[in-house]
Parts: sequence; C-alpha cells; structure tokens
Amino acid sequence: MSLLSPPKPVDFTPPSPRQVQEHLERNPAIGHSRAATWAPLVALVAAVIIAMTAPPGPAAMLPWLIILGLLFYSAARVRRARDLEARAARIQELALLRRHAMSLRLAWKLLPHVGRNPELHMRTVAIMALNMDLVGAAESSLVAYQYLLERLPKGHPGIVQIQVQAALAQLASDHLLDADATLRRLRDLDNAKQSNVATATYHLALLAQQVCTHHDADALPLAQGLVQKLQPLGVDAGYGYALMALAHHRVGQRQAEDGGEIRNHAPATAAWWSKATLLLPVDALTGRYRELEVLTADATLAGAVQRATPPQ
Amino acid sequence: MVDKPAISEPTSAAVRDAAPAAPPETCKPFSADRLAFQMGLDSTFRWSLGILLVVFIVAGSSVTGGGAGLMVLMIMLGGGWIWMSLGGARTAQMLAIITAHLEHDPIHAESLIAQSLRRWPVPRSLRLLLYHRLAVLRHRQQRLGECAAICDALLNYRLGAADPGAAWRFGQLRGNALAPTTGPHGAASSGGADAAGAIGAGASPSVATMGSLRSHLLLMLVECRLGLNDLRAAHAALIQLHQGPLGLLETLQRLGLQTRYEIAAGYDALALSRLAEKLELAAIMPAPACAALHAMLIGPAQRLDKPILASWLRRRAELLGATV
Repeated sequence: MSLLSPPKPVDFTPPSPRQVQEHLERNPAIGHSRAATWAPLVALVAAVIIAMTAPPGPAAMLPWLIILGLLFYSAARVRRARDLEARAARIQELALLRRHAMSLRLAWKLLPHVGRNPELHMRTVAIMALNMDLVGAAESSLVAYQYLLERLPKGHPGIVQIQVQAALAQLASDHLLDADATLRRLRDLDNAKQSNVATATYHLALLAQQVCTHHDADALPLAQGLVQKLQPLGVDAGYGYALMALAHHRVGQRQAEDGGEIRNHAPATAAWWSKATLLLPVDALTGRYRELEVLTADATLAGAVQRATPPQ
Repeated sequence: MVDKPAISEPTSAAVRDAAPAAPPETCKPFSADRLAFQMGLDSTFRWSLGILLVVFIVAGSSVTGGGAGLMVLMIMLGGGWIWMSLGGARTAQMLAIITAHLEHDPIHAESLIAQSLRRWPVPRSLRLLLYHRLAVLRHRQQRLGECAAICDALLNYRLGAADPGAAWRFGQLRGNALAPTTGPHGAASSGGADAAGAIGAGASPSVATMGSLRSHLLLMLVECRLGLNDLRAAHAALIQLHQGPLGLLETLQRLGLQTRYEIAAGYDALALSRLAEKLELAAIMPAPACAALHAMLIGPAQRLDKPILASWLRRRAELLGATV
C-alpha cells in the first residue's frame, strides 16, 4: 500500500469531543511523585544507619537486602521509563507513516500511563490531536489542541505549530470565526524572515481559509510566491497547490456563469493541479479536501494530472 | 579655545580590563590513545570503589562492634562515592549546556567540551557522550577526518543505550534526512510527528527516543567517509548500519547516505532500484532532504538512459526546492 494514499479503512470510530475531554480529565499530567523520588534516598540512609548500629549476625544482612531491593526498584523504574519512551516513539513513527488510526489508538491507550512524565504526556496528547484531525475528527482534535495550548508554557517552541494546526482543524470543523481569530493572532508569521514548517503551515491555513469560506477571488493573490512559501512542507505542499487550483477553477466558473469573460483561469487551474498531482496522488488530495473532487470530475483537467509515483 | 583632554597614564587595572579576553579554549586534536587512557583511569577508579565496597561488606560482617578501621573504610567509600557523584552531576549539567550550544555557539560548546573532558573521574557513559558531542561539533565544522576518527574510536566501546535520543536531537546530518518536524497533514516531509516533534525535541536526554548513540555515530561515520571519498570505509559502516535495528528516522538517514554511496561508487542501477519505495520514504523526510534525494537520482536516471524518469525527478526536485 502506498504511504501517500489514505490507508484502508479499519474498524475504527474516532472519539467524540466529549470522550476526548473525559479521557484527558481522567488522565492528567501529575508530574513526578515526591514520595517516589525521596523513597530511595530515605531507604539508603536507613540502610547506612542499620549498618552502623546493628549487631553482627542476621541483622547485619538487612542493609544489604535494602540496597539490593533499591537496585531492583531502580532497574524496574528505568525499564518502565524506556518502555514508555519506546511506545511513544512507535506512535510517532506510525503517525509519520500516515497510519493515523493505529497511532491514535495506541496514543489513547498510552495516555493513562504517562501522567508521571509531563513531557511525554504532552507529546502523547499532541500526537492524539494530530491523528484525530487526520482521521476526520477535527472537532475532537480541537479539544486536545485547546488542552495543549492551555498547559504549554508561554514561549514554548511548539506553541506556534499547535496554533496553526488548531486553525486548520477549526477550518475543517467549520469553526470559521475561531479559525479567523487564531490566524489573526499568528499574523507575525507573515513577516517571518525564515521560512519553516510553521510558517509554511500558516500560509497553507490562510489559503485553506479563503477556499473554505468561498472567498476564492481573495485566495488568488496568495499565489504569489506560494511555491517558495510552501516548500518547507515537502510533498504536502501539494495540498496548497491543489487548493490554489480549486480557487482558480471556482473563480473561472463563477465568471463564466456571470457571463463576463474577464480572464481565462483554465491554464492557471491546470498548472496548479499539475503541480499538486506531481507531489501527491489524487486520492490523497481528495481524501483530505473533498471539495477537490470537482477538479477530478473536470474532464478538461485530465491532461494536467501528473504521476506522483515514478514512471517505469 | 578648546581644552585638550588630559591624557593620563592608564592604570594597571585599566590595562588589565582593556586587554583582550583570553581566546576560548579548544579541544586538543583527537587521539584514540588519550580516550583509552581516560577511560582506563575512570574505570580504575570505579573498580577501586567496588573493591572497597566488598572490603567494607566483609569487614562489616566479621568485625565485632565496628571499629576505627571499618569507620575509616566507610568514610573513604562515602567520600569517593560523593566525589564521583558530584563530578558526574556537574558533567551531566555541562552536557546539557553543550548540547544546547552546539547549534548556535559552537566555539563556546567546544570550550565547554574541553573543560569537561579534563575532569576526572567522569562516569563512563558521560565521557562517551562528551566525545559524541565533540564528534557532532567536528561534523558541523566539516572537520570530517577528526569526526570520523572519533566515531571510529567510540564505536569500539560498548555503547548500549547511552543516549537514546541522539538521532532525534542530532539527526541533522548535512544534506541528509532528518528529524521530521510538524506538518499539517500528518506525514510527509512536513512531518507527521507534528507538534509532538516540537514538544519532544530539545527536551531532556531521555526524551524522544529514536535510535541509539551507536546508530548515530555510524551515520556520522558514513557521511564523513563519503565526504572524504573513502568509499570502502563508508561501505563498511553502512554494513554495520544494516546489522542492527533502526528507528524510522535513522532508516531515512541511512537511505539518503546509501543512495549517495551507491551513486558515488557508480552503482546507478542499484540507486534506482525500488525507486517507488525509496521516494515514499523520502516523502517523510524534511523538505530539503527530500528535494536533495530527488536531485541526486537525476544523474543515475540520465546515465541509464531513462529520460522520462530523469525529467519527472527534475520537475519534482525543482518543486521541492532543490537547485538542479
């Protein structure tokens, strides 16, 4: 199965926003237990005191038993921490490989076990949020994004990316006003000197906002420098090119319906659609943005469709 | 008339203040013998403590009512333990600072590495990690020969899971596949690790476990050897990379390096084999690495007289931002 194509549907129902809320409330990040941190030290001190005061004989063995117990306890703690890290890494890898349903399922199961490790807890929630967004549960993902934004410290490097992704989820779940407010808060990214994944995602979100709200004519000026702006997204930039093709297509259609032939948008539509399909298969594009199906249905664009897989 | 400002002799303190600051400390050129000596010294100290512990146990169970000798042994043991722990804790703190400075202030990072390497005793794993950071620094400074020598020397030691986050934090091999960051659509170059990547990256050493120190050293070694045009050594390191399990990030890095090796060694057909699978993996790489891989494959496609494939790769590479 192609990595870039949506995986085959599995027996999976994404959680509702309420379920997500309850799951997060039931399994909060509680941090390290103070007792667990100090217990080994207390036991060690006790062992030393016993060693110094105990008379020779069976009692002299007690400190060594305590130390042995401590060694086993520490080893078990380290093993458990490594196991949790390995599970989190596996979940992240599955998300990278676009196995979002599987990744979400495992992240959901992992969450109750990572409360003692706040960093791992937040990472697990972040991966859950992304997965929910990509399995079509944008509403539920918003609950998780909100949870993260409320808890991450100010100035955390991950906040901007989470805000941009939350904006995309808001657009996908028709929270258009919220999305607009979120994107307004991120306006500084317009002037970012260096283009990175966060700025590229922001530009994609701006484009998606115009297309989702049917302000297609307003999307057209965003075409300027779009390729460079979206390049940090790699092949995912194809989603942006496809949205631009859709904007041109709709504007062209609207002008044709109005009867006023101002500009022929067909070449621009074909050019952007060609770029999009060169990077991503058509089913991946329509799987994410159903609106793009009008482009696949348009016979005049059939010639513009490129191969996203290498020709033999 | 304007009075001339009085010019007085500078005080010695002023001279001292005005004197240029001492140049930052640099690490001596790497020597495998010095590393072996330092490791030997550390291990001698550790073993000595262990032997003292055994003596303490034996004495504790045989001497009635303690005694002065036992107390002296216990104090020596405790002192040694505390000395080693404090040194280790300070070095561990320093290691975190070095890691943070490697990217933006390599001169300061090198100075800190030099200071830390002079310490004694340092726990074995921490000394190995310090040398690993030195290798990363040399790699970033493009001092490939020294980087390769450090990697070679470290790989002779048992590394275990000394630093499971190495690939995640130092994955940025030049022009190669690296730590995927966040993205809007779950996978591909923009990432699927999403904000989880941003949350995980740069956190504590135990965070974001992907791969091991050994794999990261091997990846650096392959890249250095390729940079030095030592294809035989690059091949040997690649074979080692194929022998152990790798995380996804390391697999992506290995793919980029192996393709570079195959092209450099003239195995064009091999570079183009299983191309669809390779490009699917490339889609998970960060954009520059993905673009670079596409650009790299244009040459073999042209040499093997596959103009359609070469043109397709070129168009994709250009769209992804590679200068072809």
